[in-house]
Amino acid sequence: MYNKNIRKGGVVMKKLLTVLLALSLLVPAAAFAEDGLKEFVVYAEKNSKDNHFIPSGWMGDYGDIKMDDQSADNPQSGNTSLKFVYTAKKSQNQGWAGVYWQNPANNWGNKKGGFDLSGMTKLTFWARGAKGGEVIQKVMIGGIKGTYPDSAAVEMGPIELTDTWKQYTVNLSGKDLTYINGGFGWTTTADLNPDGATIYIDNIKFEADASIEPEGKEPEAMPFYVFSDRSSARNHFIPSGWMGDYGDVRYEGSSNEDPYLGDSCIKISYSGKKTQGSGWAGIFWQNPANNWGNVDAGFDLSQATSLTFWAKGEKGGERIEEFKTGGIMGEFSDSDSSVIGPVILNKEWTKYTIDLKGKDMSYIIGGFCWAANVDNNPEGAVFYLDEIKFE
Amino acid sequence: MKRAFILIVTGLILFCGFSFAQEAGAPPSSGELINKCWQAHGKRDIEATFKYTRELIDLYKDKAQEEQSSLREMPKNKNEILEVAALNDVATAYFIQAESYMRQEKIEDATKVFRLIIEKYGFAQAWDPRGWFWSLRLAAEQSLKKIETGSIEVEQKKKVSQLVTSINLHDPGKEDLVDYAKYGEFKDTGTKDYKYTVTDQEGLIAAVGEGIYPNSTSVRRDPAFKNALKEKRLEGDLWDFVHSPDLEAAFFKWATSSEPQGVKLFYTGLILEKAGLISHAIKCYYAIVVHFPGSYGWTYWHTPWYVGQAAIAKIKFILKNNPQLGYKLEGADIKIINGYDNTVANDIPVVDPGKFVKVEGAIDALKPEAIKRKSGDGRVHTVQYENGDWQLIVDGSPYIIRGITYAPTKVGQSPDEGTMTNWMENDFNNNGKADGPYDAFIDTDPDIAAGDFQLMKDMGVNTIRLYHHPEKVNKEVLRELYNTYGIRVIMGDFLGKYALGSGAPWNPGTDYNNEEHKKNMIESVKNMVNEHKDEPYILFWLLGNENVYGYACNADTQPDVFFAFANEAAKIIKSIDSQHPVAICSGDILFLDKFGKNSPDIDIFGTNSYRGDYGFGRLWNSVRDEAGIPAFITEYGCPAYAEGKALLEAEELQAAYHKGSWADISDNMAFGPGAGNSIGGVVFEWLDEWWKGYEPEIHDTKGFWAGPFPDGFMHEEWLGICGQGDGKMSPFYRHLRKSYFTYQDMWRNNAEEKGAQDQGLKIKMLRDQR
Repeated sequence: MYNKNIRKGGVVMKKLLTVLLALSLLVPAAAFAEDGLKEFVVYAEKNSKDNHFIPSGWMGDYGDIKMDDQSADNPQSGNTSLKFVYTAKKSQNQGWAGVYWQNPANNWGNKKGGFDLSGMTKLTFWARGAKGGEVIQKVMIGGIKGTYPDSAAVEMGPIELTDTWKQYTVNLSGKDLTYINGGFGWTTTADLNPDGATIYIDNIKFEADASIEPEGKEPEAMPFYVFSDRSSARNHFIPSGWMGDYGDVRYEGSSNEDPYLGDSCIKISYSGKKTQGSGWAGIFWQNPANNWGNVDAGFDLSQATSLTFWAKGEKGGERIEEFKTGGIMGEFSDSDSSVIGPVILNKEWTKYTIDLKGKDMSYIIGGFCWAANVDNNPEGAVFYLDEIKFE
Repeated sequence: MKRAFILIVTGLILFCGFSFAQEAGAPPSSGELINKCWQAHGKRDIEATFKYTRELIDLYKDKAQEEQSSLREMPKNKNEILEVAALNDVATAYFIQAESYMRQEKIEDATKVFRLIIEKYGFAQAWDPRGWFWSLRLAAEQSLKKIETGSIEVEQKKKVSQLVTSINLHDPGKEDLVDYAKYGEFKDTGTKDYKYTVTDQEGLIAAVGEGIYPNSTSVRRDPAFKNALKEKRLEGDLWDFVHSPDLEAAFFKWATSSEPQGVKLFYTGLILEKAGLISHAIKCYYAIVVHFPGSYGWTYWHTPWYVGQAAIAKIKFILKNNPQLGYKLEGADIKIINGYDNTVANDIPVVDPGKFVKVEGAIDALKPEAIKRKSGDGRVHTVQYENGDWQLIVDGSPYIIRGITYAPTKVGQSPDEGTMTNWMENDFNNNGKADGPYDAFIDTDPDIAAGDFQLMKDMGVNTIRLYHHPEKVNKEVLRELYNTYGIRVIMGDFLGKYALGSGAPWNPGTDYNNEEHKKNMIESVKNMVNEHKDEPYILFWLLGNENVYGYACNADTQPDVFFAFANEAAKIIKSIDSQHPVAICSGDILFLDKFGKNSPDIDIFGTNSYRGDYGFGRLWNSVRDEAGIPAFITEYGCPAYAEGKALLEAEELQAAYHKGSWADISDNMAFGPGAGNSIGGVVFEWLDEWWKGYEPEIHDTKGFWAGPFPDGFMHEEWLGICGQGDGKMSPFYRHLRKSYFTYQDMWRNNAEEKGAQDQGLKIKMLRDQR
């Protein structure tokens, strides 16, 4: 029933779209909504004239990805769907991979090509895994930077797929969609899919659904994990904010050296060599990756009363200046911050608690952070973290 | 074919020659060459100047370029700066060439070289033996500016909001002085295991209020914060906000910063203090003491700065100056075990947060104390009383050192150019009298030659600090200084600092393990003592001048050896002269523990210290703990110039700095509320010296190094208690700054100190009666 309606919508708009596409050659960022457009298709069928954007932006371990854009293996509708086989072999030593749909192909913001999708309020797509349990780390709409940056950056994830088709919706209401070059994208990681993953995606489209309200963030349920295990879909935030002497830091998110719980923990090796001349280093776990307050994202963690984690030093005596949550300042700042430190680590796993009572954790981009310096670790430090979670 | 063969053979010969040269010895280091460059330039030997600068540039320019490319910003501290020595020395060689062209009036050539420095060596810095590094790019810009306009002032664009604002706290907190016991648990107070654990964070957040740990929420909810964000007033580097007049923005910027908590709270407190919110500032400082007592920052010279100790000093300073608050902080102390070296990894804080207690009634009357220890029986000696306090005794009476550094340099003279003459000999008006001491006049009364000696006496000065070398001492002048004006002399020997007295070359400088150097230094010290020991003007002997920082001596890397040697020198002095004690002149409290262990024969710990308008913090207690002898400040001071302030306002700030410094010196004297071991201090300095910024004809306003001064920078040419006006009537003109009158009030009229002196007299009488 639902499927049929979508198809109908596609037929209704086809004629109008042809005209608009011709116009778009002259004015790429012409508005659609004013013309009463209700849908804007990214992928419907192989070679569909309704399709927009090209899945050209292969990222990370691009050698680990194979794409079949006309898979006949049980499409969600019509005759074809998209099939991605991700091997998790880390061909480019990145540990992650993904694909962006761009316009024109390979446009990383270096040329004008984005669409004005004002009026669209959501993006929907269908997805399934070959076996079930495959994890898409996140899907993205917009977010390409460069000379001609997208006007919005929206992310959703992680998504744990089932072996049957399921529709997913990304709320775009209230977002500035006046210039979107990155129409759709997905990423995943080898940690989340150690044995690789086969993912099917179908019927990706923007829709103008007047009933969709701007997304007010719902308070996240507790416990809310930053890190549980390497392949856990419960993990949130990305350890992307490397600070100070980032060249001194080695991060292993899937260390199996005596994890506190589960099959893995985080191992951090800080050499203290002052590679960038700062004398200190640290990592912020962010949402989305590399968000220093420039992207409206984050989580509502107002139900959290503490952040707890387990930590130990390789030798014992390693000094971490700060463990922190929140505190990122920018256009979209964290609503608060809380910090403990300095912390002298034990050789045995020890639980630490950052008290959040009385704190405003309603908007948190920087979920977790550590910082250490060479003053107190002249020979560097190796330490382990596990079970980082808001409670 | 034949021609090609000849070329190949020639090439072989050249190659062999090069190899031979390599085997014969490594090329000179850039450090060695740059010293030769400066020496040649100093001697105005143009040929040698260009020979050495070219050699240095040819050898090291590739490396210099590599180093410049590897940098993203100006190296900030000594270690970082020294890591790019080739860059610094090559750029300095070019700078010397340009200066030489200027001397030769080859303006076009000089301009080209200055531009080259600006374009290619933007992160290069040169060391000034006066104690700081200077940017060659900035110096080149100033020189170009001078060529183009005749003025050297380079406009620095303000980088952060300059809007003048005040702070209105949205959430001042529920308590003025927070009762921390209500919100947490103190454990092991007064030990190295001290810890405060918060048990009621919500309650504490409500009590402390906006911007004070752990309340990070209220700032973000402050409408003014949101407004400041919207107006983009928080944009810019955090450190540029420390001295921004936009106090509101500065407060928000610091309160939401990611600096280490102790540093963050200190500067937040500083901004609150500037905004007049003293209760909130005290809360902010005290949060450091309770939560982060062992936190530290780094000074410009990469020595640790202990924030918790500074916070206690700040609180005491504010409470003392605001008696209407009616409180004092009692028992608070943070001792850092191993805190006297250049590392923090071995630090162990011993913490007692103390408590705020109400000040009730007058302070108890001083009680006479018996003497338990003396440094000798000479006319000048130190005494320690039964209560542990110390005094300097001169001719049987307590003596407070109300000192000043006197080095009146004529505008236009500079040791850099070999034009500085001896103030004791200068007689530019040919009247047979030394100019500064006798012929100086004040701007308000130009017809009367008051003379510096009289002016200093009127100010209340009783001591000057002087070194017996390298300038010759005119004993007649000093005799008159004492006999007529009652001003005594602390006579010093540099003890190898700047390679003076040791016979060592500048690079690598004095080696305290070198027997030849030691012998020369002992000779120098002996000469000083033998020459002056019977002179009535001598107060005591002073060894060194902050040698612990290094620079043409290795006391920074061999502090134990240095202090052991200084102790030997002290013993030798005492074997010659039993009438005067011996003091060391150190650098703040660096290696103080090593001084305590190695120098038992030195009677007084003197040190140069520039810590801010609130005094010297824990310095007195540290000397008491580590050395157990009396202490005095051999140098302290503040510029009378502050960027963005009118000159009169800057004078007020200078006076306030001096007032705060002397109050701390006074508080820590015997029978006072402090450590009881202070015997005074020496102000730096009497008169502005215009040569320090490299252009002796111009009164430079540039800040040489970042420090706790009114605008955050040390303006070395403005440290005088007196100014020289526009310089046209130097060396005679004196503008007596506000600080002069501040000292006059404190030194000539201060009842508190008089009380201390009277007490000393009482003790003397008591002793005499026995």
